[in-house]
Amino acid sequence: MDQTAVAQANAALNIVHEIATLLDTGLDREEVAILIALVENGVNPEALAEVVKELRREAAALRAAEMDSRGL
Amino acid sequence: MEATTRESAFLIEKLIDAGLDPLRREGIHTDAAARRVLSYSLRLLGSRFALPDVRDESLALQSLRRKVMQQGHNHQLPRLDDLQLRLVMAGTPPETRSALFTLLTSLPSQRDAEATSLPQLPPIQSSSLHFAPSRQQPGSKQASAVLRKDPKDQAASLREAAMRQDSRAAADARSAGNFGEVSLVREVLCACQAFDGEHVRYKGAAMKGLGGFEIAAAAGIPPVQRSLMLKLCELGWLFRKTQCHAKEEVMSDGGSAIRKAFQAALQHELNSLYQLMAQLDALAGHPLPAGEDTGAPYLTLRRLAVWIGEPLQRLRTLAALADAVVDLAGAQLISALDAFTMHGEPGASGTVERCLRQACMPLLEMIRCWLFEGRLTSSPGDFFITASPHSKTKPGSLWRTGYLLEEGMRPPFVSAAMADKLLRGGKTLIFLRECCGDAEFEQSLARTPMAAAASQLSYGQTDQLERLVEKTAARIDRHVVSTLLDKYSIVSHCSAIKRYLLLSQGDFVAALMEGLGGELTRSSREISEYGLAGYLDAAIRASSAQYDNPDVHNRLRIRLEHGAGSETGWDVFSLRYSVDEPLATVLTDAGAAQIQAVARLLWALKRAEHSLSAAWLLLNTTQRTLSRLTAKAKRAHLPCTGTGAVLGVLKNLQGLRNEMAHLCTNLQAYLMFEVLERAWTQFTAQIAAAPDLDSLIGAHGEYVDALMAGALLCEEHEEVQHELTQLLASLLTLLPQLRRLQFLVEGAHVEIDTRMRNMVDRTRAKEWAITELDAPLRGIDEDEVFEVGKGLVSVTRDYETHLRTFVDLLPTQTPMDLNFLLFRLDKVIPTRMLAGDGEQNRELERSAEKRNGRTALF
Repeated sequence: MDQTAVAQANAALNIVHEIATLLDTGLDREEVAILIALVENGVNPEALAEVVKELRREAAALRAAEMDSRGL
Repeated sequence: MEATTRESAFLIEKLIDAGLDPLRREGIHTDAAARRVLSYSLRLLGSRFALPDVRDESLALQSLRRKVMQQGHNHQLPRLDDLQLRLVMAGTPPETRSALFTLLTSLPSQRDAEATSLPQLPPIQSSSLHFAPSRQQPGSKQASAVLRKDPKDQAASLREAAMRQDSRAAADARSAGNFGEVSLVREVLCACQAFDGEHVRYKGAAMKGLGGFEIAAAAGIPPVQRSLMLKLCELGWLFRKTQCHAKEEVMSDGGSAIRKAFQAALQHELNSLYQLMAQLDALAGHPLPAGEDTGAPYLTLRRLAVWIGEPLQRLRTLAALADAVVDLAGAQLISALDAFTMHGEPGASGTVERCLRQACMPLLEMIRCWLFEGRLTSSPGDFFITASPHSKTKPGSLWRTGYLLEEGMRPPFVSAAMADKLLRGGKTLIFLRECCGDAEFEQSLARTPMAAAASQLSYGQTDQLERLVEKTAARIDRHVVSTLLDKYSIVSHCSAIKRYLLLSQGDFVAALMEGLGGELTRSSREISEYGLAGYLDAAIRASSAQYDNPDVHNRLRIRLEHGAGSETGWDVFSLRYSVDEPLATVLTDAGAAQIQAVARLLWALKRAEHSLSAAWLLLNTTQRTLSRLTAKAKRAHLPCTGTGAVLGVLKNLQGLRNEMAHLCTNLQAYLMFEVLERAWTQFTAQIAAAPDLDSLIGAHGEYVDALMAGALLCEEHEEVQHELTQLLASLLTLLPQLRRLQFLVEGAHVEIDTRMRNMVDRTRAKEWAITELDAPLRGIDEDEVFEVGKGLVSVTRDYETHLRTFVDLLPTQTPMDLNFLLFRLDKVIPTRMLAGDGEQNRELERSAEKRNGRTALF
C-alpha cells in the first residue's frame, strides 16, 4: 500500500469517525476502522449494525449483572 | 470468497474485543459473552440478510440526514453534507460510502440506548428485524437460523426496541403535554413515503389483494388520533400504488416508449412529493409550543392534514391515471390520458396535462422523425403508422402496401386528415429515397424552419402541429410531383404509351402495318419476337417517332403471347412498354394490363381495317380485270359466260365492304377521338394540377378506367364486348370470298388472253382465227360464282346479325357517351329483313344498289 492510499484511508477514517460522533453512536476510532474494513469487505451494513447492537446489549447485560452482583 | 469470509470473521472478532475491552479492564469476565456475540454475529453475517433493493448513496445519505433531524441536530446538517463531500474527495468508492451511511443510520445512538428510565408501554409484538426467509437457499446458512436465537435474547432485543420507541413517545408527550403527537406525525410521514413506521405498517393483501396501512393495536394510540392517522395514511397508500405503477416494467427493455415516458412523468410527480415530505420532515423536528401559539413552525396531525391536502388530491389523480392506463401503450395510452383532461377541477386537469405533456414527447418525436426523415423509430404498438412487409422487387408495392395507418392507434390530437397527410408525407420521403434515389431532399428538408419548429413541439400545440404537418406535407408533395413530372417526365412516357400502344400516332402505325401486315398473317409458330423487332425499328425510323427520346424506343418492344399454336400472328401480337420504379408506382401493372386490353381491341380494329383495305384493292383489281375481260371478249367476239353474275356479286361485295369500312372507321373514330383523346385531355389536365403522388396515381387510374369504360371493356359490358369481338371477326370473312371471286375472274381472263393470243398468232399465219377444233371457252363458272354469292350471303347475314345485336345491346348498357356512335352506326344497319334463300341474289343486288346510294352520302 503506497503513501497516498494510506493517507486517503486515514482521511476517510477521520471523516467517518466524525460522522459517527456527530450521530452520537459512541464508536471509537478503532471500532470505526474495523467497521470500515468490514464494509469494504462487502459485509451487509445493516447486519453489521445488528452485530454492533448485539455487542452493546451484551456489554450492557454484563455490566448490569456485575452491578447486581456488587450490589448484592 | 473464502478468504474474505475469514478476514471478516477475524475483523468481527477484533470488533468484539474492542467493544468489550472497557469491561475487561474493569475486571469483568467477558469471555463467555464474547463467544456468544461472535457466534451470533457469524450466524447473522453468514445468513442471507435481507438486502435493500436500492443501495443508492443519495438514498442512504437521505436517511442519514433524516436520522440527524430526528435527533434534533438540524444545525448539524451542513456539517454532515460537508463531511460527505470530504468523504467523496477522499476517494472512497460510492458503494462503500452508501454502505457506511446505511451502517451509521442503523446504529443506535448513545442517547437512545441510555434513555432507559422512562415510563414503559407494552412492548410491540412483532420483531423489528426484517429477514427474508423466502430467499433461503439450501446448503447455505439460513436466515431462519437468526430467528432461532434463544428466546431470552429475542425478548431482550424486543424490550430494547420497545423502550427506545416509548422513550421518544414519552419525551414528545412531555414536551407537548399531548400523547406522542410529534412521533405520530413522524409515523404518518414515514407511512406517506411508503416506509413502515414503528406502529404504522403496511399490510399487503390485507383484503382481497389490496394492501392497506394498519396501526398496531398495541401502540395504545387514542381512537381519535388513530382514525386521523389512518386517514392521513391514504397518501402513503396512493404513494405506494403510484410508485408501483411508475416502477413496473421499467426493467424490461423494448417496451413502449410512450409508456416509459408516462412512468417517468409519474416518477417526476412523486419526486416533487418527496421534496414536500422532506420539508414536512424538517418541520416535524420543531418542538410543539408549550403554551399559546407563538407563530413558530411546528407540525401536529391536524396541521399535517392541511399540509397534505393538496398532494393528496394530486396523488389521487395520478393513481386514477395510472389505473386507467394500466394495460395500455402507445396512442391508446395517450387517448386514455386525454380523456382525463376533461376533468373540471383545474388542479387535476393540470396534473393530467403535465403527465400528458411528458407522455406525448416520444410520440411527437416519432412524428418528427417520420415526417422529416422518413424513419419509423417507434417500438411496436406505439405509433399509428406501421410498416408492413412489402417486396422490394414488386414495383409500386412500397407505396401501396409498404406503410399502413392504424386507425385505432391514432392519438386524439391527430385528426384523420392529418394522419393521412402524415402517412403520405413520410411515405413520400421513403419513396423518394428508395425509388428515386433522392436523399438530398431529405437533407434540405431538415434545414427548413419547419424541422426546427417540429423538434420544439409539445402537447397542446395542436394547431401548430397541424400547420406544420400541412406545410411540410405540401412541400414534400410538391417535390415528389415535380420530380416525377420533370426528372422522370412521366407525361412523355404516358404519351408514348398512348401513341404507340394505343396506336394514336398514325404514321408510325401505318409504317408498322406496312411492314408487319404480311408477317402477321402467318402462323404464330412461324414468327418470333426477335424477327418482328426489325419491323418495329423500321417503323420507328420511317415515322416521326424517330425524333422521340431513345429511352422511349428502348422501352418499346414486341410481345407474342403464344397460345395453343393454331393462331395467326395477328392473334398473338402486341406491343409492350416497360416501365420501372419510380414510374411503375404510377403506371401500375394493373393499369398496364388494362391498357393492353384496350390496345388489343384497337389492334383488332386495325386488323379489320387492314383486311378491308386489302379487300378494296382486290375489288378494284377484280373489277378492272372483269371489264377488261368483257371488253376483250367483245372485241374477239368470244362468248364470255358468268360476267353478269360476277358483276352482281362484285356489286354486293362492294356494298358490303363499304358498310364494313364505315363501321370500322366509325368505331375507330369513336375509340380514338371520343374515348382516347378525351381521356387523355382530362388526364393531362389532372396531372398538371396534381398536388401529390396519390392524386398522380389516381389521375392515371382514372385515365385507364375511362379508356376501359369507353372501350366497353368493363366487366358489366362483357356481352357487348363479346358481340363486338364477333363483329370484328365477321369483318375478316369478306376477304376470302372476294379472293375466290378474283380467282375465278383472273382464271377466265388468263384463258381469254391465251385464246386471243392464239387467234392473233393464227391470223398472222393466215389461218382462221377461230376453228371448230377450238374447245369452247370455260369462261367464269357460274356455279362457282353462285357459290361465292351464297358465301357472301352468309357473311352478310353473319355481319348483320352481329351488328344488330351489338347496336341493340349498346343503348341499354351505356350512358349518353355512346349516342353519337349509335347515331352513326344506325345508318349502317340495313332496314330490310334478311331475305329468304330463294330470292337472295336479286335481293342482294337491290340492297346493294340502295346501299351504294346511301353510303355515297357519307
